This record gives sequence, C-alpha cells and structure tokens, in this order.
Amino acid sequence: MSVKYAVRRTVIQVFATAVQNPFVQNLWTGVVFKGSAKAVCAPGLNCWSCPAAALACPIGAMQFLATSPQSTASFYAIGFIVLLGSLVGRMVCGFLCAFGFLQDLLYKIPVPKLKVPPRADSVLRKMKYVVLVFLVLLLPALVTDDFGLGEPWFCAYLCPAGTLEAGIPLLVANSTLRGMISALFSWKVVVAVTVVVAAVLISRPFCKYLCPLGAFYGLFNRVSVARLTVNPHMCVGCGCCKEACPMDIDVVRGIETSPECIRCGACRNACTMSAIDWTLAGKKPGKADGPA
Amino acid sequence: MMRAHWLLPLVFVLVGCLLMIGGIASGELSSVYDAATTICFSCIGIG
Repeated sequence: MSVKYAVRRTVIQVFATAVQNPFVQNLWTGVVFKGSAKAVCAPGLNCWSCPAAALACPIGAMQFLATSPQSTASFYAIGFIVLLGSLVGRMVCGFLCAFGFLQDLLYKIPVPKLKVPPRADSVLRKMKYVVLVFLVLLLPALVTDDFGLGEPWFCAYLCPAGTLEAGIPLLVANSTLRGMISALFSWKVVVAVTVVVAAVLISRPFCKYLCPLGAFYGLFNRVSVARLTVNPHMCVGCGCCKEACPMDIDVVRGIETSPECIRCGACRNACTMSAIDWTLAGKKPGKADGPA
Repeated sequence: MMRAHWLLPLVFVLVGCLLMIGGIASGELSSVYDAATTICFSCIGIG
C-alpha cells in the first residue's frame, strides 16, 4: 500500500478546496465575493454564500432557477453536472469536493468507528435520491408563494455545508445577521453537528446517505469516460480493496457500475496484486507493472 | 463493441455541453451570478 498515493490525493483535495475558496480573509469581514467567477459552477458542494467562495454551488443554482417563476430548471447547472459526470463520474466527490474533503479529515480523528448494519445502510443510501428529486428538483419548483416564488428546500432545511461554510462565519462576522436568527438556524445547526459527529464515526456519511450532488454524479458512473476497473485475471479475492473503500463498496463486483463509488482510488492503492487500475471507456483494463 | 462503449459517454458529454450552452444562451449565467453574489438567507439558515 502506498502512502504516496494518499498524500498525492490529499494534496489535490487541499488544492481543489483552496481554488474554490481562495478568499479566506473575507471570513473575518463577512463580505461575500462578487467577482465574475461567481457565475461559474464549482464541481463539488461548496456554498456560494461562504465569504471565501469564488464559485457558485451547482445544487444552489439548480434550486434558485427552479424557484423563479420565469424558469423551471437550470439547464446550465444540470448541463454542467451531466458534462462533468459523464467525463469522470463521482471522481469529483473523491478529489474535488470541499465538503467531502472535510468528511475525510473528520474520519481521521482516532476514535472507535461505527459500522452501519447492511440493511439500514442499503435503505439510507437511497435517501440521497429522495433528497435530489424532492428537495432539489420538485419542491423548489412546485411549492410557491402568492408571487410564484419557491424556496430552495435543500439549502434551507438540510445543507450542512451552508451552515458550516456560510451560516456560522457570516453570523460571527455580522451582528445584523445575528439579530435575524430564527428556529430554522437552530435546526440547521442540529443537522450540521449531526453530520460532523457522524463523519467522525462513519466514513463519508453525507456522501453516502444525503448528498444530492453525489447522487446526480453517481448516475453517470456507469457511462463515464474515466473509470476504475478490476482485472479478474489478476484478482485473488483477498478483500483488501473492500476493506480500504471509504464508501464500503463490494469493489470486485461493483466498482465499474456502482453509483456509490467516489473513484478515490483507495482500492487501487490497497490492491497488492495491482488488479485495479484507471481506464477509459471502451478500453480493457491493462496489466499494471506493480503496486503504485 | 469497443465503439459502443465509447458512444454512450460521448452522447452524454454532448448532452451536457448542449444543456450548458442552452442555459448560457438563455441568460442563466446572470441569474446564477445574482444569486451567488448575494447572501442567501436560506443557505445560512436565517430565512
């Protein structure tokens, strides 16, 4: 197993988080960046109200266009996710998502870890599709007020990234906003704290169970250009890959098609037989020379 | 067979590009910019 690979991946995650959130000084002033880059979607879940954020959140964009009486869907944001998903699938979650990186860091805290029972795990994993369909796509467009305006349900009631990256920093920096706190903020803090505590005990719980962006990207894992494949002739069935997988996938059976695979490469790194490798769509897995 | 494996990803890449272009052409970028540059009360939980 190569430590180099884990370090390389962490460096990419740090770099991606920094590129998406370069204005750290704004965290103290509470000023939201207003440059033209804000019209461009970030690849991962990254709240656009975070003072440090340079890009727009694709899930936020989908919801806000849906809440408008003039439109029902954001073709731009949906197209962005379809394009990125069909190129790399959920590799975005494994390498580029700031909130995924935060969960990876939290899981490194050395405390006894929880194993979710398989049946509960299987049911909970379907929740992210419910979140995507109802909180992101349907309710913002269908539940409207007298003026025809909807509400961004996912942002308002569930998104822990918004609370941690934007809500808390903005409320710390801005006394006027502190005076506007309502019961909704208490609910959002409860959700955020629950996700943070869960991320210490369970590997990537938000990605597995709740993230609508991961659910969307996951739909393209089966057809994406870049993918991980297992060479069945080299695999000895030792189970090292399954042990290393942060998403608890049965790697040998499901790595190429599973919508759960975040393409982090932990399985490839753990495989002592070099049976797992990156490939492109239409190419058969090549024989690697040795462990990475 | 190999071509078929390439075809589906290619179709989705093209669909993604077309959707993005359509969205940009219909002025969605300015809507996204407006939403992303104002503090979203819903996002921060005070809405």
